[in-house]
Amino acid sequence: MKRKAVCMILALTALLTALSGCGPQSVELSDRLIVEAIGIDKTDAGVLVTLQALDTHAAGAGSDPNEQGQVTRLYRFSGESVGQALSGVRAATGLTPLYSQARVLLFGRSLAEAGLAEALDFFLRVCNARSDILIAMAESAAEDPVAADFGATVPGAVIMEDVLNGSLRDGMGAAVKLYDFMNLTYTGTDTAFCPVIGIREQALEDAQKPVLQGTAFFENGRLAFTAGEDLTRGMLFLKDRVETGAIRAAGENGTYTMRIISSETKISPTLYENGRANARIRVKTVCDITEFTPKDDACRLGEAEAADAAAAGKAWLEALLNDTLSVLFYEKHADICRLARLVNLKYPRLAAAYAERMFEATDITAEVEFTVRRTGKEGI
Amino acid sequence: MKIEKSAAENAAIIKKTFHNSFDLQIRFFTAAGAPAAAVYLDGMCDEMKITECVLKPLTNKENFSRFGSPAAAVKARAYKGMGLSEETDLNKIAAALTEGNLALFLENEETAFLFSLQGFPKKGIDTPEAEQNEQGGSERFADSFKDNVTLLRRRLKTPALVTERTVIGETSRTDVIFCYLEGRADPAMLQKIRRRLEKTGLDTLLGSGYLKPFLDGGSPGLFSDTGFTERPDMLAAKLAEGRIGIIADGTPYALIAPYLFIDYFHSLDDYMGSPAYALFLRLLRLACFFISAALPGLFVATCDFHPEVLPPGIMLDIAAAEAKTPFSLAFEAFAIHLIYEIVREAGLRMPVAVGHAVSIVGALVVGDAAVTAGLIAAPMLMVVALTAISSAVIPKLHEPLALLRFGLIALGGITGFFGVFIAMGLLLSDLCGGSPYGVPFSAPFSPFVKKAQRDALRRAGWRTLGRTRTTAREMKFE
Amino acid sequence: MRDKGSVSAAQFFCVLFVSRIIALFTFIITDAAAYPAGDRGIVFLPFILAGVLCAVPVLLVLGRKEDRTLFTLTERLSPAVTKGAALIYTAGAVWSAAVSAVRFELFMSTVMYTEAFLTPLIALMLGAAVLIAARGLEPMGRMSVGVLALIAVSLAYVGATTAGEFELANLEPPLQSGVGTLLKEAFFAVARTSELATMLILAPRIHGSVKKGYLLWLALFGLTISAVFTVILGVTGAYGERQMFQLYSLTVLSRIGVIERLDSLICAIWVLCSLTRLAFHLYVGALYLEKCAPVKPGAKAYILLSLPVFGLYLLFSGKIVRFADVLRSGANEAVFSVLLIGIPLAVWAAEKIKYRKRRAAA
Repeated sequence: MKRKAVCMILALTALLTALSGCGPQSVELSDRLIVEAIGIDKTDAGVLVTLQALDTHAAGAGSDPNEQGQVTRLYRFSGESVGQALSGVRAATGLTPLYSQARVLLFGRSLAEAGLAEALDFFLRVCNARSDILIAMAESAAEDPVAADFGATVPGAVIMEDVLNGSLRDGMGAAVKLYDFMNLTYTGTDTAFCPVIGIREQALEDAQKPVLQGTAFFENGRLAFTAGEDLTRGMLFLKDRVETGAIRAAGENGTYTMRIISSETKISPTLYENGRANARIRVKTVCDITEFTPKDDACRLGEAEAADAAAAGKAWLEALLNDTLSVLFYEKHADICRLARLVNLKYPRLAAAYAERMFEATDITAEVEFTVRRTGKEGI
Repeated sequence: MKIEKSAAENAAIIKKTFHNSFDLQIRFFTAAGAPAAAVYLDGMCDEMKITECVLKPLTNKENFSRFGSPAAAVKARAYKGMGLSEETDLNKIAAALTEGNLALFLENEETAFLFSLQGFPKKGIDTPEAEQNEQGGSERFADSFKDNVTLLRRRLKTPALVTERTVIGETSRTDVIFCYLEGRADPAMLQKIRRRLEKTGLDTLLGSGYLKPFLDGGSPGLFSDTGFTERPDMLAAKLAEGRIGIIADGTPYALIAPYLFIDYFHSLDDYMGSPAYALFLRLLRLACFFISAALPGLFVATCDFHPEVLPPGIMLDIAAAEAKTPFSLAFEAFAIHLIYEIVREAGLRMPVAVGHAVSIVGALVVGDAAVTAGLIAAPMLMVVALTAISSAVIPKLHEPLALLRFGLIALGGITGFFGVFIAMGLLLSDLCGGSPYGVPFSAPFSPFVKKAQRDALRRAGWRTLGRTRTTAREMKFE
Repeated sequence: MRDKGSVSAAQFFCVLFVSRIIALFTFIITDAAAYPAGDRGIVFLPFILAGVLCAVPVLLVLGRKEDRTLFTLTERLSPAVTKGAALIYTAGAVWSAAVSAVRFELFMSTVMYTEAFLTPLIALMLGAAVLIAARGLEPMGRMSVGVLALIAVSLAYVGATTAGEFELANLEPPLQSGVGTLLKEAFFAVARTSELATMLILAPRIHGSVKKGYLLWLALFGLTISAVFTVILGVTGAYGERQMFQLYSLTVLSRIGVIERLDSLICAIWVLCSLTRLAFHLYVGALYLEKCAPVKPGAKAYILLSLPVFGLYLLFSGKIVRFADVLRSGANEAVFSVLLIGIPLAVWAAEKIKYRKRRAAA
C-alpha cells in the first residue's frame, strides 16, 4: 500500500512537471538552429557574429538528403558583446540555437588584435557549446569564410573543418581546439596560437576555397604576430603534432619526395645552477620514398640513394627546426616547445626565475634521426 | 458421505450430486452375478476400455460364486492394469468421476470400485511455438499433466525425480504437479512453495499463469521471480539445477521457481554449440533487452533534450524527417508503439484465416502510408522496428518490456536523460530487490557467485560444466 | 536466510564507493589555493593515512568483533544520550542528503538543463530514492555493484578516448605549496566523507571484515581521486582548472570517430550514483530516527526524512553564492568532526569509564 502511495506520488510529480511547464522544456530538432560555423568580427559598436546554420525545414522539403550545401543559411547578429548579439537569435529566427554541432569558430584579425578573451568567454560558459571546437583566425574578416560559397554539396563549415584537420595530419597547418587555445592562454608562459584561414578563388569552378595562410601567435589573448607555412611546419614538428605529410629534399644524387610515416619529438630540458638551461630536442622521423628525381638520368634508386635520401631529409629537417627556433623562440619569444612548463615540472623551485629570462638563458639543440623505411614498388 | 448398500441408490445420489448432468452415464447390469451400477462421465472415460476392462470380464458366463463374493470376483477378474482402487466416500467417488474414473457399485457392498479409464480427448505433443531451438528437441508440453510428467520422466530417468500431486481450485479442482530432484532442490524452498500453493484459495485454476503471483516472492515488481517454459527439456535442465517445476493440468506451460534475471537470456541452443558463440548469443539477447526497453525513450530524450549526442549527419537526417511531420517526437513514439502493440495483439487473437490481412495493414498502412503521408518520420519507424525485433528475441520478457518502454518514452519526452535514468535506477533496484526463496534475482552477478559464472553470461565448455554443477541452493544467502 | 537489512562487506563498500564518487564528480573547488592541482596526483597516500586516523574513534566503538553500534554503547550510558546522539546523527544524514541534492542540481543545471526549473526533477529523484531505500540495504548493495560497473566503464571510456590529448607539460609539480597543504587537502577530502558515520549503526549488519573493507575502500577511492584528477590536469591543463566541474569538462572532449559529446549520457549515469547516495542516506537516517523517535524504518520513515531533505535543498537551490559560502565555511568538516570523531570518542570513553567503575564496584 505504501509502495503504491509512493509510486502514485512519483507519477503525479512527473505528470505535474509535464503539464505545468516546470522542468526541462523539450525542443524539437526541427525547431533548433543547428549552427555549423561561427564568425566573430570586431565592429565600432561591439561585435558582429555571423552564423552558418542548417535549415532543417528546407532539408525536409528537399528530396535528396545529400544536398546539404543548399540548406545552409547565414545569419548576422550585432551587439556589444557576443552573448548580447546571440541573445537575439531566438527572437530573429524563431529557433533555439544549438552550438554543439558547430565545427569551426573563426574570429577576424581586428578582433584578434583587440583581444579574444571577452569574445571567447561566451563559448566557454554556454553548456551546449563545444570546448573542442576548432578555432582559427580569418585573414581579414571572419564573415568572409563563414559566408563564402565553396560550391560543394556540403556546408562550408565541413570543408573548413576538413581543411584544418587534414592540414594538421599533413603537418602543414595547426588545427587548434578552443580548450587547448585557452589552456595555452591561461598558463601565462605558453604561447597560444591558431591557424589563419583565407579565401581564394578556385581556378576552374565558379566557387571559392578555404586555404591556410600560416599561423597566428598570441600574447595575453592578443595577436602578437603571424608566421608563414615553413615556420608553421617547423613548429608542428617541435610540438610533436606531425602525423604524416610530404618532404621534398635535395641530396647529392637527386631530389627525393618522401612521405612521413611517423614523427616523434622528445624534449628534455636541463636547468643548471647558473640559471642557464639546455633543451635537447630529439626528433625521430620515419619516411617512405615516394618519388626520386635523379641528377643523372641513368641513376637508379639504390642503397646509396636511400642513404642519401635519409641524409638529405635529416639536413632539411634540421634546417627547418633551427630556422623555426631561431625566429619563433629567440626572435619572437614564443615558447612553442612549452619549455617553461617542462622546466616547472622538473625544477619547480627554480622555474619562476628561469621563466623570466628563458629566451636569453636557453640553449636549444635539435637532433634529428631520419630513417628511410621503404623505397616504393620499384626495387633497389 | 458414506456409500449406501443399494447400488441403485448410490447411483441416484451421484446423479443428484451432478445435478442430473446429461453426460453422467449410469449403466445397470449384473456384475459377477450381483446387481451393479457403473457410473461414469461420458467423454471422460474410454468406452472401449469400459467394455474390455469392466463389462466383459464381469458379465461373461463364468462361475463367479467360486470367488466367495461379487467384490472378490471383481477384484479377481476386472482388469487391474487400469488402476483399480476402492472407495467408500461418495464425495470422493464423485470427485474421482471428474478425473475420468468409472465407479462400480455392487449391491450390498460397502465399498465401490474405481477404475481409471481415462479416455477424454486431448491435444497431442506439438512442436514448441514460442521457444524454438535450432538443435534442441521438438517436443512441447501438452495440455494433460500426465503426458507432461511422462515427457519429463523420459528426460530425467531417475528415481530422484519427485512428482507431488495436489489439487487447486474449489470448483475446477485442477491437478497441479510439483516436481523436483531429490537431493538437489532446497528443502526450505520446497516447503515455501508448497505453503504458497496451499494458500492460493483459488476457485478456478484454468492456467498455470494464475499461480504465478502466488509463487512470486515479496512485493510485485516489473519482473516475475517465476519463469515458465513450454519445453520439457528446458524444465529438465532447470530441475537439474535444483529448481522446482510446477505443472498445472490443462496448460502446456510449466512454471519454474526460482527464476533469475539471467535465466531469461538462456536458451537450450546455448549448450549445443561452442561456448564462444553461446557468449555472443547471450550478450546479444542482453543487448536486445536494453534496446527494446530503452531505445525509444533514449531516442526521444536525445532528440528533444540532448541533440549534441547525435553525429551531425544523423542529426540533419532526423531533423529533416521530423520537420515534415505534424506531431512531436514523443507523441510519434508513443503512437507508433501503441500501434505495434495493437497489431501484435491482433495477431495473437484473430483467426488464422485473416492473418494476412493484418500483416498487410501493419506493413502497408503503418509502415508505408504513414511515412509517405508525412504523419510519422522514417527514423522513428526504424527505431520502432528495431525495438520490436529486439523484443521478439526475448519473448518471455515482452510484458515488462512493453510497460517499461512506454514509461521510458513518457519520461524521455518530459525530462530527457535525467528522468530516463531515474527510471533505470528504479529498474535496477527492482532487479536487485527480488530474492525469491532466498536466491537473489540478480544472482549470480550480484552477489557474485564465482562457481556459477561458468554458466551465467559465458558458458564454460562441457568438460567443465559436466564435472560440477551450481544449484539454486548454492546461490542462496548465507 | 539473510534478511534484506544485512549486506556483505564487499557490497556495503560498493555502496559507499558509489555514494562517494558522485561527490567527487560534482565537486566544486571553492578555494583553488587550498587544493593545488599538482598535489592531487599524490593525495591518495595522505588520504589513506588521514582516513585510517580519522576512523580510529569509529573502530573503537565497533569493537574487536565489529558487532557493536554506537547505540550499543550509548544504551549502556543512558537513554537520553541515545536519543541525543540519534537526533544528531539523523540531522547529519539529512544534511548530507540535502547537500548532495543541491550539489547535483547545481551540476545538472549548469551543464545540461540550463534554462529549466529542476525542483520537480529533484523531487522525483527523492521519491525514487525513497522507493530504493524501502527495498532494503542488501538490494541497495547489489544495485551499487551494477552502478559501479557502469561508472568504471564510463571512466575507462573517457580516459581511453582522451588519453591521446594528455600532455606532460600540462601537469603541475606536487608539493608546491608545501607538505602542510597536502595534508590539509587530504584531511578535507576525508572530512567530506560522511559515509564513515554509517558504519556506526550498520556494522553488525555487515558480513565480513569492516576494517579490511574500509581500508580497501580508502585505497581504491584515494587512487581514483588521484588518477581522475591527474588525467583531467594532463588533458585540459589550466583550462580545466578553471572549470566548475572538472571531470565533466573532460567528458565533453571524449570522442571515438563520429561518436562524440556523450557527456550527457555519462552524466545521466551519474544520476544513478546520486540516487544511490540519496537512498543510502535516507536508509541510514531512518535507522538513526528509530533510536530517537517512535518511527520504525520503513516507507513512512523514508518519506518523513525526505521532507526536511527537500526543505534544506530548497533553502540552497539556485543560490550558488549562499551554497558556496556554506561549503567554504567548513560546515561539512564541522559535521564530520562531530559525527565521526567527537561523539564516537566521547561515547567510547564514557562507556569505558562507566564500565571500569562498575567492575571496580563489583
